[in-house]
Amino acid sequence: MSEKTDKAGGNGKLKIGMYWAASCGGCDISLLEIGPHILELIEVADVVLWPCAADFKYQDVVNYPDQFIDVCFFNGGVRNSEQEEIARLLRRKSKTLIAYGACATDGGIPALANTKTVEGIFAASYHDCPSLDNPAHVEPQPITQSEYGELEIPRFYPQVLRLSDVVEVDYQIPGCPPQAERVWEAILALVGGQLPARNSAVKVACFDKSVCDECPREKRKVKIKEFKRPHEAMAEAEWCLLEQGFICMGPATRSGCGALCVKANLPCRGCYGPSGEAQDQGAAMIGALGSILDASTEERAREMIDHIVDPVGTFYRFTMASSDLKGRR
Amino acid sequence: MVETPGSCSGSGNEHENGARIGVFICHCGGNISDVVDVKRVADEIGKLRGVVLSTTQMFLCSDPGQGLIEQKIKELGLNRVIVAACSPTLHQLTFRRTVARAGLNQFLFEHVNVREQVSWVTEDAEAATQKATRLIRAAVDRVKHLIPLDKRRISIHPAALVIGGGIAGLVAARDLAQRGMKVTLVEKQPFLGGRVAQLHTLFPTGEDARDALKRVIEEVVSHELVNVITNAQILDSEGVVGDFRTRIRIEPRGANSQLRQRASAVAACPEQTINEFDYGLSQRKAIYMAYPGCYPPIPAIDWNVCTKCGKCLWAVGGRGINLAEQPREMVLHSGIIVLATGFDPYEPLYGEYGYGIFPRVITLQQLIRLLDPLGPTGGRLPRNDGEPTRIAFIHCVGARQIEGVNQRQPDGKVKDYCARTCCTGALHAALEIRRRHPEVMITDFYQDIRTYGRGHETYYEQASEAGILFVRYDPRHPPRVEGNPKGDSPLLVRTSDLLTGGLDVEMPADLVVLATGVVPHDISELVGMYHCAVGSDSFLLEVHPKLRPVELAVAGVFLAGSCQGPMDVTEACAAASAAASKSAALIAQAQVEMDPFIAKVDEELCTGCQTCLTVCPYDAITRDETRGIAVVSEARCTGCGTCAATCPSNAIQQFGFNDAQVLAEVKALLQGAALG
Repeated sequence: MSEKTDKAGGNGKLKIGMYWAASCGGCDISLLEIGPHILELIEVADVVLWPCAADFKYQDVVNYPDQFIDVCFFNGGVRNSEQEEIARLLRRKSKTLIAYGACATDGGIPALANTKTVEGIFAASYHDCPSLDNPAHVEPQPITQSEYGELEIPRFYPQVLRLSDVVEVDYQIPGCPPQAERVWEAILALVGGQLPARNSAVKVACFDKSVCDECPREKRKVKIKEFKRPHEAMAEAEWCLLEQGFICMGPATRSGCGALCVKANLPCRGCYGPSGEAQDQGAAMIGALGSILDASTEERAREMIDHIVDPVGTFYRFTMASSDLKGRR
Repeated sequence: MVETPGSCSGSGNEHENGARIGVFICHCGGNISDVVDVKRVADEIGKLRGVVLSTTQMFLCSDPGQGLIEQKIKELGLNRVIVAACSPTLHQLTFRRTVARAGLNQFLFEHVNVREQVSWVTEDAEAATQKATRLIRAAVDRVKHLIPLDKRRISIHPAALVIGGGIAGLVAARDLAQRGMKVTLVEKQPFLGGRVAQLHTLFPTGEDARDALKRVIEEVVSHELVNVITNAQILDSEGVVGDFRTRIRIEPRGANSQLRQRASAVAACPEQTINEFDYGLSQRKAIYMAYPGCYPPIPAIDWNVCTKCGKCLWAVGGRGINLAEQPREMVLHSGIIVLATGFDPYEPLYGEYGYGIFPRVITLQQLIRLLDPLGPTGGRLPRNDGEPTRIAFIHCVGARQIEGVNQRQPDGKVKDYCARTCCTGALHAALEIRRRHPEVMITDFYQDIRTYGRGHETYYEQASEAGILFVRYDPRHPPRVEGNPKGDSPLLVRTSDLLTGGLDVEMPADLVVLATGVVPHDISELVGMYHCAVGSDSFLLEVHPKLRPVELAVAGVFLAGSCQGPMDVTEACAAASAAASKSAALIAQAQVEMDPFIAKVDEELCTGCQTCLTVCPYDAITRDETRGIAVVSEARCTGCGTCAATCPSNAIQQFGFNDAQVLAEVKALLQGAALG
């Protein structure tokens, strides 16, 4: 782990930061997955913020001059007022702000809660959960009066927002988590000044084509007879999972991961978000599925569709905040 | 009507992408403006960004109307034009040409329907005005994303393939040849003529069916541009309009033109089989001539029956018969294809009105064979103890059936459509019987008499005057045919007669004739090959019954005759001539121009996932194996948009309907709309 740099910087090294908001922490670990390259990175860069790995305080960041951080990786979506405040702060303090990982780019798993109301989320988290014991029906309040005075916690937003919904973002690195090899390539490009022009729509550390491009499986041009969930049947190793009836999001998902899941005989979950210029990943996938069902009657089609458990969680698992659905209004 | 100058407004603002939009709203002489406040619409639209001109006109399709559009395009440098008027099917092409005359790409034009879809469907002026505004606003946002397009051009191989050698195929082939087109006529059977050869006389003229047929066959086979191939079936077909390659297999005929003693060869054959030409009423040999005067006038061998015993060979001294002849395959190159595959008479189910149980229950087709002087009985009706004295006709057998009343067919459906030919056909036959045997009592059990054609009603009038008794039955309670225990006539037809207020009728009959409907000839392979649209009645479906009546949706494939629906000979010939004219017109163009609204694959984005190949209804997409991407055949693509909607990677866009255009339109349509 690097040492803390002196606050004014000035040693000529790149200053990088990594922050986490509404995320699981996997992104932080994924950055470490670049393995031995971390040593090369440390040679050219100083870490000036990484709450997951080192002890930086809020005040440290506030004290940095504006544009002090050369590259800031921001993972996680924006779920509450604290996260929005830090996002705005880091935008001010960073030359380049990168939305890192599916939650920052498209909302990710936390954004699936966008289909619920705040009351619903609180009910599930503080009242209805079977492992809870909350006889007083206490819910977190932004302001609480206590014997120690007034306590304030961040406000809970009705929706998980993408980083780009809150501040201007320079690049996006999709994936849950982003794959280390791609990330390292992107870092090299960044250091070498070879990244494309800044634009919040530019996704880097990935490709434009869909996962099918990296998938070695064979297409047999058959229509889907029935849907299966991964635990319900053993997938044939060489054959397109979608054609076998497993809902593989590969065709509607940006490549870059190297078709990791499908190579492990599991259907793609869609973590890199929509491919190419497609906007709504779930709609793209549903559109494709609708056309390749082997259902001659409406009843049969309905039967097949009824077998899809949790369609929103299946088709928008990582992209609810980017979708045209936008969740509950 | 005097043209009044409309109001004229416009924001003058050019859109950020340089769009200078002109919006022209038509009064349609009051058709639109009596309901829609066109002036208000024009004012509203004129405020929109990018709209340089928003104006109204009394009749935009008139010369002054079109002149106005041309003039404004030039004067104001418009580069997008919207006309809000009638349905685009009526005048879209008119205005595209107007726009083109002014030097603007004709696909930078958008047509908005504010007549059929707005002013004609409501009297609520306020709602109509708002809807018109909304529709035009959507068009304004859409046209900002339009790009100039060019029509597709495909060259046409100047030859026609006609599939089916019945009257429709023959007429189509003749008409094409007479226009100087090279034609190949392919018939599956060994002899030309189809169903008409099985008729005796034709309604409504009463002329001899085979004479009429013979004249057409003569015209066809004597024409130097026509090549007739009988005994051949279509194996497969590839290509697109202008360039079809159809592979056929010609079954061995077994006999050839060197065969002189044809009758001796047939007489020598010891093998017999059911003669389908007489609908099972007679037998024929394994080597046979289908009917007297048939073409080609050379016998053919039915290999399913022939045992290759060689007796025919011996009888003719070995000349002209080859029992070892092999099938041949060949590929026919044509620019267009005419399907004239015809129909089959409906075959009643076992027990349907006693059919199959009582030998004296026959179909109308069988009756026609029996009445034919050249038929199996020399024109005599079946004898028992003499000529039948009581004949009953039952209409609508295998036609206009009712779900829940009539038994389902093997395909699970009932034949719910009117077969159109059997009413006149049955009365035609009944009158023929009356003419020959005035003593016979004829009863006609019907639901409705549909002698709809020109000259057909005469048959009904004559039949009424000739004392034919009409009994109208309730289609929900069709007549029953039973054995007659009394024994004076073998059969009994029971029903209740709606004409006498539901009086029960019990009519003994010596012969019951079922006026059976028609079903399309089984061409499921061709349907798959040419991606024909098929109606719920299983007949082939034209693009539009009125505007494009003999065309399939697949470019370059035309329909002739009763493959398209029940038709009498007159109608089948008319349809065949129509198909021939349409085909000839297409061939004569040498090149075909097609709208540019086809799908295009973005090679950078396509991963070759092949989803589009699975969904394309026209086989227009193939996979380029070397590059691993999908490729759209420009000629084959009909622009249906299925692939573009399906592609999960958004790698396919459709010209004229790309995402940006459609989304902009949808957004504008929904603007301000309350969403649930």
